[in-house]
Amino acid sequence: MFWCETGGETPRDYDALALFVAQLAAAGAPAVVDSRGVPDGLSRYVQFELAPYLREGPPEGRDTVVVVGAHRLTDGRLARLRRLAGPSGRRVVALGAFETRQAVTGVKARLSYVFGQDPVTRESGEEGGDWPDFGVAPRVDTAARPRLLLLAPDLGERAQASALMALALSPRLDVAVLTDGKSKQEWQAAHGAEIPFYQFAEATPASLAARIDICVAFGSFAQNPRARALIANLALGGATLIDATPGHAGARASDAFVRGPLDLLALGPFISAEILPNLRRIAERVRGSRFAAARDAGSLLRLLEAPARPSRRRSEPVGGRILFNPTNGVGLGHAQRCVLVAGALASAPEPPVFAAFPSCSRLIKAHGFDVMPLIGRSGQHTQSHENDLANYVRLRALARDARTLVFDGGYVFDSVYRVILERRLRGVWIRRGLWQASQDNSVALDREKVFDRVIVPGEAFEELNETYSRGDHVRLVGPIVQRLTLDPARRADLRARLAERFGLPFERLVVTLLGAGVAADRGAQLQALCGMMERRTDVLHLILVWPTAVLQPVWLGWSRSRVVKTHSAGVLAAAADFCVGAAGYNFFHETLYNRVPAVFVPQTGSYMDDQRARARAAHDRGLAGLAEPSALMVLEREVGRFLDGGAAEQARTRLAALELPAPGVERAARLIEEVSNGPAALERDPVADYPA
Amino acid sequence: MNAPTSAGDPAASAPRLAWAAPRVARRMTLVLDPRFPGGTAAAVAAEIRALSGAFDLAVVALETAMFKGREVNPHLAEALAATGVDMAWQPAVIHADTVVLHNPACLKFERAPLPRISCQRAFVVTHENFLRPNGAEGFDVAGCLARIETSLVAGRRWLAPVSDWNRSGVASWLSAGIDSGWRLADFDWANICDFDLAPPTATPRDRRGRHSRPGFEKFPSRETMLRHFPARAERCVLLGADGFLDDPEWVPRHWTALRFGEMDVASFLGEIDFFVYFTNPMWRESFGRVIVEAIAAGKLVITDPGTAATFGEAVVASDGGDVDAIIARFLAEPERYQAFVRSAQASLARFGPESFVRTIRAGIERSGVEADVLV
Repeated sequence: MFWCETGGETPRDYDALALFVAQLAAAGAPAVVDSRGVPDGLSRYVQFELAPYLREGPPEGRDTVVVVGAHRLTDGRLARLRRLAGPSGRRVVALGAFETRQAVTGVKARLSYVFGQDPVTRESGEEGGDWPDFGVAPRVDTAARPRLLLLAPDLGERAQASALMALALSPRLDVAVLTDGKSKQEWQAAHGAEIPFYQFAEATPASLAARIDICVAFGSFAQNPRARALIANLALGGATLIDATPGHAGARASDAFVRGPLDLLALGPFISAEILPNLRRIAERVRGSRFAAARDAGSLLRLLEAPARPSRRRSEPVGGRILFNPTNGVGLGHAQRCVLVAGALASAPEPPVFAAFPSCSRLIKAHGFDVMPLIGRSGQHTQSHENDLANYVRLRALARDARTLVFDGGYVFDSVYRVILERRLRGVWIRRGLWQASQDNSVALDREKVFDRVIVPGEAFEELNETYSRGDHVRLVGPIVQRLTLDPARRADLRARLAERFGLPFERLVVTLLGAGVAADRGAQLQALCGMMERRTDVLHLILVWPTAVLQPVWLGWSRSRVVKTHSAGVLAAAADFCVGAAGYNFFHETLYNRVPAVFVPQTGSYMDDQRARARAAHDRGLAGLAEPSALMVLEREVGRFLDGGAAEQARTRLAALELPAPGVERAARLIEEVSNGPAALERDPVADYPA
Repeated sequence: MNAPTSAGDPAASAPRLAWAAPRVARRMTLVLDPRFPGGTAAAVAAEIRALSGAFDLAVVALETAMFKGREVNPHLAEALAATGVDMAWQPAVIHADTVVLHNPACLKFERAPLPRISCQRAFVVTHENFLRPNGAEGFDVAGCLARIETSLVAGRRWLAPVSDWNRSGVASWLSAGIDSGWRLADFDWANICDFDLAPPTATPRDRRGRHSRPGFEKFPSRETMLRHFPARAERCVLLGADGFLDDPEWVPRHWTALRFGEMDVASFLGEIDFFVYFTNPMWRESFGRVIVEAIAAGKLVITDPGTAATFGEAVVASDGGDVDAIIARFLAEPERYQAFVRSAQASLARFGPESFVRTIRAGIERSGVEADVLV
């Protein structure tokens, strides 16, 4: 193994270290970083980039230590490096910009004091970086259209911004931009996320290079190690490199670049006329250039005495497994949606596998799928994304042999985003809609760019379907809902068994699913409901919660109300005369599709979907009752209306006659298979797709 | 000088020639960066005191990048004040019969040119070893000497080592390179050590310690340190252990680890009976002033054979594996302990100022002049 270290101690040094390790690993060398040497307070990007490579020392006997930026070697680092020294000396390779003979001599001496032998040193070369620039040819992706990356364009002028937007409309190219964080932020604030923008650190150069066929460099990249690494990767992969820098400095210094127009306005015609017809010829020339030869990783790997790289160059992920990753929100809606869709997939040699939070495990396992637990947020974590770091490492490992990752959630976590990019997965995002108007979903929409397909589970009522992003990759399907058929006899049997179980004969069965109080305190509502039921002798009131819920004292001690922990809420709801519940996507649609009358008490947390709109749509159609969370009197009146006023029966009659869109479970499954297996999946089982 | 002959003298056609009397080279200038720390500065301070009585001594201060931002070493400041020797900061020209440039390694980060130096003979005192024990250069020797050469006009130029070990490194370096005009002096420009002598204890105990600057080169591996300073010792005191203290997990409970300067050296030496001094095996002291200081304080010194060579029988040479056994033997024979330390102290006279001045004066005379003068 190669234990990679940096000579410096600043955040910039660790940024460089993270880049080096990612590049080295991409070159096939077993690169690791001693976790004890990594300080707190690094940027989130660097933490994520380093996370897969962190190891607890000490190294084994034949391991090598690689120090990058060794010309900046500080005493502090040297002290840390002592932990990597073996009892009988350790092979060390020191890379850096050694400007003088003294610099090399000094580094050799100082490292020898720690490691017991002089290091092998290598000058970084004319770029003056922390190591000699090297690249790794990306695995070749097949894309429908050439993918164009604009590197650091100056979009400050209106004309250039307009030119970019025009270029992005081209049917012959997929356009993306790589720039600094500030420029990206400014662009997205003004123009949205329709044109994919990357900032330098949000994806490794190896991941990015796999998504690029043509790169146009507008700004000088000589001082930017990440841009240099990307260019090196692209050159080795035979991508077209166009120099659009002032004075064509890049083309003057390198034989891999072709000169291009400096103006975005002229770029489209230039690429159409000069580049697209010659892509193959240009690729051969770039791969054979002196620039590419000088950046071949072989020289560095020989210096490191790295084991030979595997000869197999994968153009496709090895396995065909589909990996589902539902996040957990307030309830288990995301996981429930995923198990429904996973269950509808055609059987494959490798069944789908799940990565999910522990609260979802039982539900997922109950449907026969294996699940790897992820880690939830905790107050014990010092950083809000700390759990996601661990999840990233787990997900990355699980995705090693996967082909497709299906994510169901509202916020695309770094872990999900990075694993799709780095494992070269086909990404599918099941993105439930009905976001609240006040929500800022810009991060999620920005990250949509790594998904090959976005599946939008529709709402039952058309006015609730909104469009958040456009494109061929966005597909609307019918509501993803679990349908239950409970014939009258089974329903009567279930009700009888419930009466027997609880020793409470009843005529009316009321089921409440208000959640476990995570999103909002439901104590007052439950107390009101239990109090109402307490005055009656003909009702059995069941409070349903997920098995992982923490019971609240206020739920207990009632004579007509009982708490039931279950994943089978749908069955009990179907047996009820009516339900009281929030208007979350799953519960709402299950009541509609299973024709169960309901009184909705929407969750109104700012981070949730717009349950109020959903509940109102049903209420306004006379299909359901509605009570705002704070309106306890209204809740009592609505429940009373459903209990004694005939509203439940009226709703049931209307529901029976209601025409609803066809459920989208099967369609969603086919769309995932299409992405995972290619268009051939469509031929087996055609899907009528509707671009959103 | 003889008077010129008159024009009418018959012997005038045969001019009377005479050899000028040999000129005593009395003017000596020491060139150094007065801000360098540690034992070398103390040695040079003693040298100023010793040489000021034997030569017309001047001191020129260089402002090297290596010691940028540091103050003048107090030992040197005191010596200058005591002797009344002037110190000129970075003059444009240095002119003397003999110029002595101390520690060329201090030029290793230098980019600015040195003052122009004009002299009959130049000695560059090689305080820092040219080569490390594995034969690799300790610093960019050629670069530092080249910087001196660029500014130097001298009849002869010598590299003057400070010890046998230091000499062997300079000799190896000279023999491995192209002839650069530098010659190896046939005498050592040794450190002056004139410490007061304290008698050894009659009842030595297993109280061990070491003292040095805190650099990585001064310490062996942690494993070695733990072997040399084990929990079974009655006391283990480490002065200058900053590198260990920076990583608290590295300091075992039985060590009294102190930062450099946290305790004065005399007090530290008062707490121990055995001075166990091993440096990093990839580095070696060119002289080892701390060892002399410990002997003078009445302590028994155990060190590696390479470092021990400078001090002959005054220290116990050890490969590091038998430190416990050596200490146990001396503890069992306190008289032997006392005798050994007294003998060691007696041998320190060769590092005294009188011996030093004799050596230097003789060395300079042997170094000769470029040409005899015929008048």
